[in-house]
Amino acid sequence: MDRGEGPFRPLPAGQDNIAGRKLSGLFCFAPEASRGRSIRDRPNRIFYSKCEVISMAGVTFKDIKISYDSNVIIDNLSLEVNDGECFAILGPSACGKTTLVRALCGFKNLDSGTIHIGGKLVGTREKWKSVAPEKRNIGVVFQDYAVWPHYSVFENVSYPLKKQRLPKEEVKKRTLNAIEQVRMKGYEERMPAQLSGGQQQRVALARALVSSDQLMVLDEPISNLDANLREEMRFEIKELQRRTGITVIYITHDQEVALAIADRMAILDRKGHIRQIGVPEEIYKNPNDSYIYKFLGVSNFIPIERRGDGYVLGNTESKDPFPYEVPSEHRAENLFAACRPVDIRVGADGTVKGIMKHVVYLGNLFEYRVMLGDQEIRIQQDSHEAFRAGVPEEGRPCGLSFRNLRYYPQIEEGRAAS
Amino acid sequence: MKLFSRSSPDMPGRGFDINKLLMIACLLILIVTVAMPMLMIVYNTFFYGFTFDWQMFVHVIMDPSNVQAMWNTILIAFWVTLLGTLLGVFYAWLIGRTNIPLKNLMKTLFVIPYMFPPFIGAVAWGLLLSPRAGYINRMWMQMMGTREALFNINSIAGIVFVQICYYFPFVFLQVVSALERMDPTLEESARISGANQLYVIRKITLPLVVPAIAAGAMLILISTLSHFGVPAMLGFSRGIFTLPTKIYELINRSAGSFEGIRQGAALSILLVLVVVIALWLQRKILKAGHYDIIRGKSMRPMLINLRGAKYPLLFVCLASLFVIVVLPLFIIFAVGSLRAYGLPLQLSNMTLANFHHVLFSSRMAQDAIRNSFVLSISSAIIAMFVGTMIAYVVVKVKVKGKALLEILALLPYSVPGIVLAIGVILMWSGTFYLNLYNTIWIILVAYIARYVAFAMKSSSASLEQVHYSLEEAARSCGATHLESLRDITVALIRPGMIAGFFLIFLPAMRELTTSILLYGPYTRTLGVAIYAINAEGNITQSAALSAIAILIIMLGNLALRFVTRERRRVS
Repeated sequence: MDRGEGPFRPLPAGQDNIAGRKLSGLFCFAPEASRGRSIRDRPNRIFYSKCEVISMAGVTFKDIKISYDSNVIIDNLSLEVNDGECFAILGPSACGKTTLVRALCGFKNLDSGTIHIGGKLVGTREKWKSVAPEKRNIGVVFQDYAVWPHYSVFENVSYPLKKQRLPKEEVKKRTLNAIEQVRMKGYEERMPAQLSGGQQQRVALARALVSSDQLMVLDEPISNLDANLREEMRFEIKELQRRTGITVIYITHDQEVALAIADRMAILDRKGHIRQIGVPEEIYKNPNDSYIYKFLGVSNFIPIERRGDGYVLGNTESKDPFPYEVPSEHRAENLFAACRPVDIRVGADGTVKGIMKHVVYLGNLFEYRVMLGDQEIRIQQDSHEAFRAGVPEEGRPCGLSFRNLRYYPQIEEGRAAS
Repeated sequence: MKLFSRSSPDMPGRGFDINKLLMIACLLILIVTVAMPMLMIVYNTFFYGFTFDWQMFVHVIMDPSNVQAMWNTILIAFWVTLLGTLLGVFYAWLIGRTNIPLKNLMKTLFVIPYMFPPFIGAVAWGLLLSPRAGYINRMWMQMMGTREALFNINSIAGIVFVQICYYFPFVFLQVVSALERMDPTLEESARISGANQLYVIRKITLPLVVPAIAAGAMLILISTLSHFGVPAMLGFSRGIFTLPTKIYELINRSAGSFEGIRQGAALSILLVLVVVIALWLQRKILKAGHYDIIRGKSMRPMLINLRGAKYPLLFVCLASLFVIVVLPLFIIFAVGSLRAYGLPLQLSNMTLANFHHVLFSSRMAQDAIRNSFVLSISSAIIAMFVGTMIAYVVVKVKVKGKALLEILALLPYSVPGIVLAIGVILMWSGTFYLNLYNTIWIILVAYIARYVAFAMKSSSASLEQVHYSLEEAARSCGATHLESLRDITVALIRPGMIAGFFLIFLPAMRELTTSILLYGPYTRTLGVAIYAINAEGNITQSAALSAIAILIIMLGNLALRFVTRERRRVS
């Protein structure tokens, strides 16, 4: 959006604001001071001429239930997204993420519960009380981009502005600005068929940017791109969000993207329940349960059993001792000791004995598969470090030492929810 | 969630639901144009006024001449379907799978009979092979010094022959495209495993294209069972009737009296029964499993080297093309230019007077050309919009009752045109306070009912390509439902709609079966006029008018080709 134009961001008369009311004054103002700052200290307010102050574009889902025919997709879900934050919703495929977005955008009605955007009720059980999709003022980037093939880049991006009945020069100015923001300048007259996937995605992004200046929803927007482009787009989306201060809800199944992009994130399980909400670093460091631990990256789950005061490795026939102190709050009969591949070191000094099965060189990393009893353990080691310490040989016994261990009770994963 | 999000039935928002409105509108249109006429046939067959009367039905279906007509219909349909399918498969295999030369040329030529109106073909073959006056028969008699004709086209065999000429492309087109899309590795792996050429054809290729053959054969079967033009042109003079021509004859003989129409309705039910049973039987016989091995994209098939058989087979192809395409076209244009029918085909006997007469002085012919244009264009436009509406509801909207909608829209596809015409007469001649009989409107109503399915198929194929998120993207950009339909969906399927227009315009232009029961003194169509002028004995003029009709249709086909090529380029 073109917040960079001047101290005031004029909205012409007749344009709906988020509250769905016509603005009584001609202008609403965004304070000059908010530009260029980090989102976290940007005032979450928009000032109307009447000095009415409302929250801008926080999103609140309250006890929502969504189903298709008799198939309940989401049940009893509550979630709060703050204004101006980049919020990632992370979940495995078919967990209802997209359904959630469709309900938020107004493509699917709720069975029960409410959705508020900026304090205004937009979605509820009664269709007539809910706000139609076109009145919700959300910029959406669809998974398949949904760039209209019969419109040029310019026409695609300017479409939302035309629907807002803005004057022609204004439409042109804002469209070009948005196209520039996604670095597609010079491509205005191209047709979507002439663009690559990444370029189409940028067009979709620009279109979402001009269609709303408060809330943008991105549904797995970069999952179809190749690895390099994905990284680049991930960075750009984050950068854009910082620059504009728009609230972003980012749907993905890719934990790396979510961790990289989100200010806060929620993790859903297969049944559409929220397992944990929090800041990425916090969630990564302190996953609530084994499901989240596994979901956030490659992990090793080593079964351990209590013997007296200590623990032994459950996966070895000789029940070798487990040489680490288990914190008192976890001390159950059977536990899993969870560990990331990078947190295991291979070396002669390791107290846990295993047999090196495979050594794979991945350039910057070495990946090892070590047999611990009948269980295969994945280990990663920095190449430089491995060369310095000597690359282990396949088929030879080796010692392992662990860092950052976490303990989870050995119960079925389905019931592991706290 | 792909599974569920296909359609967007319950979007929030105030006001009426456009989807529901569309659905109701479609249903109403189809009930009035399709369902009611069909019900009227059944009702009038078994009720006289308000009293139940089944004796008339029994009387009609026990009548020996009607039973004879039924056997003729079945006999003709059997041979046309069998031989047409064999011919279609043979040529499709030659062109799709062998190294025969001139492939592209032949592929284009083999499609020509597809657009050639069969009843004009019948006129042409009548000119060539009628027992006494046919040009070929006369040449034969002169050469051999005999009074025996070489071949009598005014016979069951003649009718079968002409219909095969115009119906085998149904199978040909289906099978060629299936062969082109078949994964060649399937055959190659059989060859590598040690199978010989013939074994591969028999055990691999053929079973894989069976679904395509079955689809084409079904089209032939439906078309030939309900076909009117060819048996009317060739069979009437010899008293050879099929069910459709018998229905026409019953109504014609009674001069359009109600009793005659009731008898026609009863016979229509018999005809529909025959169609249904034939389709059911055919499905039983060709219980074809569907193989997913035929891919959507074009592949480079393994071509069979014909070696020595190459040129003899090429000759067979070219000869049959000559007989099927060139000869009838030539004779129509030649006879249309003759000063009088029966004169030798020499340049000195040629004149443009017939064309001049047909175009500038014959009231009937002028009316017919104008009527056909007006009817074809208006019915194509209306049916295109209605069909698109129905396609939208069926493809995009998840409403209860859309299955009924689809069945109703596709029903006229398999109901013989003559049956539909009777239903339309019963419906629109005053039964419901509206008498359209003898006006052009009744033909328009019938055309719309008959061709809505074409538009629906064409539009739904395009609609399938329009992903629902495109419309939703417009909604979240601030467009109302109506605006998103106009700006996105309709704009994107416009090429499909235009193709649908031509797919209706072309057959409507050459329509005979329906309009022959519905025309009034001033509402003859091209087909009816050709038929009438031919029946009056003005052979040269009917040939001239036929030639004009062919030119119009060819131009229309060129336009269609242009449109569909545009579409392919865009997508």
